[in-house]
Amino acid sequence: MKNQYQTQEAKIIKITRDSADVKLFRLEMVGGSVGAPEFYPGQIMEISLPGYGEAPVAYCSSQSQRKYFEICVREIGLLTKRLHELKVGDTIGVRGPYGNGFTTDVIKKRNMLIVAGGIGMIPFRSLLETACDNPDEYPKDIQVFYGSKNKEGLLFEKDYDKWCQKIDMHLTLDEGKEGEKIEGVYCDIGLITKLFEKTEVIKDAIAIVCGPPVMCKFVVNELKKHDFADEDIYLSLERRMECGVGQCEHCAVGPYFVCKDGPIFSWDKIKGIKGAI
Amino acid sequence: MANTFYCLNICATIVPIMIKDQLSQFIKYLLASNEIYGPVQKGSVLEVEKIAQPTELALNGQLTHHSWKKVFLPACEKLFDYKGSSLSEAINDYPQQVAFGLTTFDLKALNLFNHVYEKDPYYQRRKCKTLLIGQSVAPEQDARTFKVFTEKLEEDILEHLEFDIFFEQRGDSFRVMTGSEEGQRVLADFGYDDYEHIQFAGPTKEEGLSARTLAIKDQLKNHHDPKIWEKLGKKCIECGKCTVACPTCYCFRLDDEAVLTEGEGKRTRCWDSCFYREFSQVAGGHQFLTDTAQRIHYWYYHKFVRIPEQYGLPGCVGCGRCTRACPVGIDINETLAKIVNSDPVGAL
Repeated sequence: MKNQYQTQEAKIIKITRDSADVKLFRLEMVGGSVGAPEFYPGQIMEISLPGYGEAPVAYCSSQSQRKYFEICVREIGLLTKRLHELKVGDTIGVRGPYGNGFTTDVIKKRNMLIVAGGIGMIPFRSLLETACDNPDEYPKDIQVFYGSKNKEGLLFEKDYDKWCQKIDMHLTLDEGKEGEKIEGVYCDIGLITKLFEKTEVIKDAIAIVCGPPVMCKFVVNELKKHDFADEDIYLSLERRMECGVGQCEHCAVGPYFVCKDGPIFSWDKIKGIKGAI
Repeated sequence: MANTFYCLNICATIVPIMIKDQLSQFIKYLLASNEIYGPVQKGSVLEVEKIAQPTELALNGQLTHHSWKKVFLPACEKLFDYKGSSLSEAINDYPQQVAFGLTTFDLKALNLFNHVYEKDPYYQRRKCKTLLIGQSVAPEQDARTFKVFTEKLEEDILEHLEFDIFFEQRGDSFRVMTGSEEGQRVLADFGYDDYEHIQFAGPTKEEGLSARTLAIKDQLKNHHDPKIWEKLGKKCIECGKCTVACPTCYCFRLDDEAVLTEGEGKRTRCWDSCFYREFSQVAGGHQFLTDTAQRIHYWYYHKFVRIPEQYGLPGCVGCGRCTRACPVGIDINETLAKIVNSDPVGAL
């Protein structure tokens, strides 16, 4: 019988340090003809480091890249500490993809406002890379509001140049020097809500938000002030997960499971659920 | 083997029954090639234990203190042996076993487990090697508390349970029913054929979930008073005993355990409890269920909203084990009554 907890081996083929405690790992599946599993941006996988357990992480490379896939992980616990110790050539286990991801065509048909806080930027890299790789499929405008505690915490700076050719990108830092340009992108100082005051927010758009719960609350308030309908606001939620297949009960939000029904939820679905964000 | 027919006063037609001596022979027969788990008297309570002698089985229709779930889903089970980054599926020992004496409540809980773990190879392998033998619940206990006997045993209950053989207590004897071909085969091999067969008609009644279940679901999801949880949160001590005792609590965690050899060990699945603080904790320490009130609400919401919506089955079988296990006197019937703002709940 097929075992839903069995993992496949993936080999680390490149490691890039992205910030003080965050690394980007490029992986390819071992033993298969294709280096990357088929996934949609926004979907998640369980990574397995036997002896340290499993952890859910987001795909963060382009959906079109079939030779390899990437994950971006902050060192924050035992498993991630061990992952950060691994070298090119080492293998980890992976299973998935899980969850809905951005499977609907709505992201291709509407303008998009992406709002990310801290490592909440990770799942959006997959979406932005996919959009940049497939401009014909993603003909609409994309605007990004990305906030970080400080300059050192910003992720994926090396990609900004490429993104900015398609994307209207705005950065803000909690602390730092106002007006500094980071890889060509003007940097504000202040909370992410400040970007809603200073910037002309993209019109006729859906909004997708990922970040700490407290940020999500304030961002949803801003979006409502800017007349975004509840069904046009999407949030990517984080929860503890053990199984990834809607069994273990750890990731439930109201009647939904983040691993199976999420991690992307429209606000109209979850706004009435206490503690959703 | 010669069979004895009895006609009891309570039945209008002749019902074939098995007398106690025959039952004892049957248990002995099964013991020869199976491990048998069943209700055994342990001090003042019954517990599900492995038996060595037919006399150990207490088939009196009373509920065991803990549920039967350990027979189908061990409290901790090895899923894989690991070496380096690869996992090899654990070759667990699944003995041929008999679960002897599950009440209708316990069989109802198994309906749910069969759905939850339908894609789980460990559960399925164990289940394939398990003969399910049910027994009727003692009327004096349940008529009062759970109103079960307002339902007809055969049409309303047994047709919607999966079992191999079922013993309905009739005085000192038992009416015998089969629910599967395997049950028929086992009885035939033993040499008994005065049983009646009951055709499984799906885990819910023809009309779907009961009005009661639907009413609780709707109230809990949309209309109830959230102050219920604040009050319960002050009372509950988060011991998790209800989750251990409950036959439908199935949540789990996956853990890795190293052995002394470098880079080797096992990955296990163990029961977890949504009352424990780490249950909702993510990397970095943030907990999404921040207090007792939220955790107890999560438990009720799972049973009475998520399970009915996910599986189309009731998430509570009405056995009352959680109430009996609770050291601070939280009564599920009282809570449900508060949620629906009506009389104490009946069978779900």
